[in-house]
Amino acid sequence: MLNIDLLKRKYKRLITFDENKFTNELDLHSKRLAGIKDFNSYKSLIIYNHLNKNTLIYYLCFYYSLLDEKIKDFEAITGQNLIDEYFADKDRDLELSTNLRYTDILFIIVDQLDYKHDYLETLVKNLVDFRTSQGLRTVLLYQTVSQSITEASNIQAVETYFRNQNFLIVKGQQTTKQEDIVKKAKQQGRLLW
Amino acid sequence: MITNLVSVLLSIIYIEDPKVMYKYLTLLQTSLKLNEVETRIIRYAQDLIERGEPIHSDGLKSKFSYYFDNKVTSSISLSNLDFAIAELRREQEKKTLAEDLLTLGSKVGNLTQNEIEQKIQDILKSSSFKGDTVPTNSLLKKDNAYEGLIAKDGLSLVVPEIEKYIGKATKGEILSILAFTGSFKTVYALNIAYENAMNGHNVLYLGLEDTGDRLVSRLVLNHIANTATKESELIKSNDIRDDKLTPEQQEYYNNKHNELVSLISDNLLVWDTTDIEYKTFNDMTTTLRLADTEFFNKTGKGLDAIIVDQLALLKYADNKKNQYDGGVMNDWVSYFREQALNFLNSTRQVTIFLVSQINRESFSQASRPKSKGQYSTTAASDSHEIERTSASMITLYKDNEIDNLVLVNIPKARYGQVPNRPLQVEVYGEYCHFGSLPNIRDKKTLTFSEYTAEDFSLKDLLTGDKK
Repeated sequence: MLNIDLLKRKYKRLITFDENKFTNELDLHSKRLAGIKDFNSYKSLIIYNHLNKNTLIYYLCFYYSLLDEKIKDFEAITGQNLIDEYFADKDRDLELSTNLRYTDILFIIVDQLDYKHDYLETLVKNLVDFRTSQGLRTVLLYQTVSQSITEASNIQAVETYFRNQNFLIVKGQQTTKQEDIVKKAKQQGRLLW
Repeated sequence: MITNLVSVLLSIIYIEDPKVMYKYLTLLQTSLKLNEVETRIIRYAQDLIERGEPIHSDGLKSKFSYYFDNKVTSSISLSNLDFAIAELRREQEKKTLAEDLLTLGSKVGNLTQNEIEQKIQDILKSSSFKGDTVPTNSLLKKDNAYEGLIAKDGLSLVVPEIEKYIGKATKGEILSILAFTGSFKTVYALNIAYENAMNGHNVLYLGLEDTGDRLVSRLVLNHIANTATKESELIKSNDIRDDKLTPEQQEYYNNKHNELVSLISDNLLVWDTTDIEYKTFNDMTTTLRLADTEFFNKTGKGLDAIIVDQLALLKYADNKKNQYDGGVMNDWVSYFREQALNFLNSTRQVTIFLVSQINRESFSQASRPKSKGQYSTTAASDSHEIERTSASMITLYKDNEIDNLVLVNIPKARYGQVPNRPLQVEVYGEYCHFGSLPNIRDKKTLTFSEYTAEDFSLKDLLTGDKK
């Protein structure tokens, strides 16, 4: 049980556009993630997302805070920033580096339109590895231009790594769509199984 | 060894190291009854040491020759001084007991048998002289050993989550409340005072860094926060400071002030530095005795708890600032430990809360994401005696990223357990309130199952109130 006001104040900076639209997107995330089996138990996961990333981060920060009954700290960083930070040498932001390793929830945002970068994949894999060993939550948001995208072509190695480690991968909506088609077809009596 | 006070005093003034000499002079002051001349000699020597002037032992002896001459039988070595002072104290205690019994004897004719028995009991109870009785072995058979261990009459720590780890504060314990500047130490200490006074415990609040009026004003704000049923009733401290209260709010505040006084003035004494003497241990003992008597007169029972806010300010007592070396604070902590276990030498036990400062290095470490708010037992800046003496240590860390949240760590819990991570506790500095707002709380809380329920409206997240 947590105080809503405190949660709101903590994550207020994520609300960057119209509150009604923001809420509508929260609803969509809520409905989409509600049906995923054992969602709570995964510490590291990839989520394909074509909506505004802040709404998903906001939803998940509330979700994990309430789940663990602790107002969680979080950090969000894009793949490109992660590379820049890693190669910054003497200009490296040590506080950010520590945060990336130890913050309660880390969101790594990779865009479908980003260039493929081997270093990025290695960096992400190492970071996820370290954080998993610390029992911390890491969410890789794969931002797509449409909900039908189901292949992370520029971070394939990371996705394979997640699959091999039995981490959760929440794909785009194509599968759901097919299910809907089947469901609809069944309702219409065209399919019998 | 046959000792007299003259030999002891003379042996002390011949000690070469002024710091050691000062320590023994102070020990004489605090543990023995001294006559006027002896007090004057000690003060004279202490003044010289405090000013950093050399002490010429022969000169001192001749200055007070009317006291020292022809009385000294032998000098006492440094290694035997402690024993000699303890022996003198024992002699004095024996003498006091004998005098009390003689005084009682002169009044026996006017007393009934019950009264005589009662008076004898009182004298024996208040006397520190225990004769040659062998101390009782604690390993005794009891009818119900379990019963005596339950902290049923313990003092509240205000937040149930904290009590889950530490338990209630029981008699004979020292609890330390540690935080860096501006991290709600006084707010928490005042909330402990308020809560326990409301529960009928007698609490003495020694406010060494603020005026009594301001402390009371903060208690009133907390009383309002505890009793308010809607947010519009709450009053912020800044609004009082800036004279922004409406006439209705002013009236409400004044009524609440008087309501608070009616409710707890018998059980809570708030004394600031203008009210009390605290320069020496003897002064402090007198202050505590006055408080105990006051409580006894008002409630029929003595003092239950003392809150010292804050300990660091005692280092300026008795003008010791010039030669402060940390030892002074250790002495004060030891003094309070003795009071907790054997209050005013009466064998009674009381609970003592010591409010103290966190050192800068620990604050810097606790500000890192890896160990946010996670102070360790060595975090106290005033005295390392705190970590040894405290039964429990409660540290507070203000989370700058989010208002109204403080991270509470419990690095030591002698009768409980230490949490893995700091607890997140609501705090409302503007209302001088520690913990969630009790009557407003239900509308503001959210659980995981509510959040993930199908019928939960996510719009509520943005409006704040759960409908």
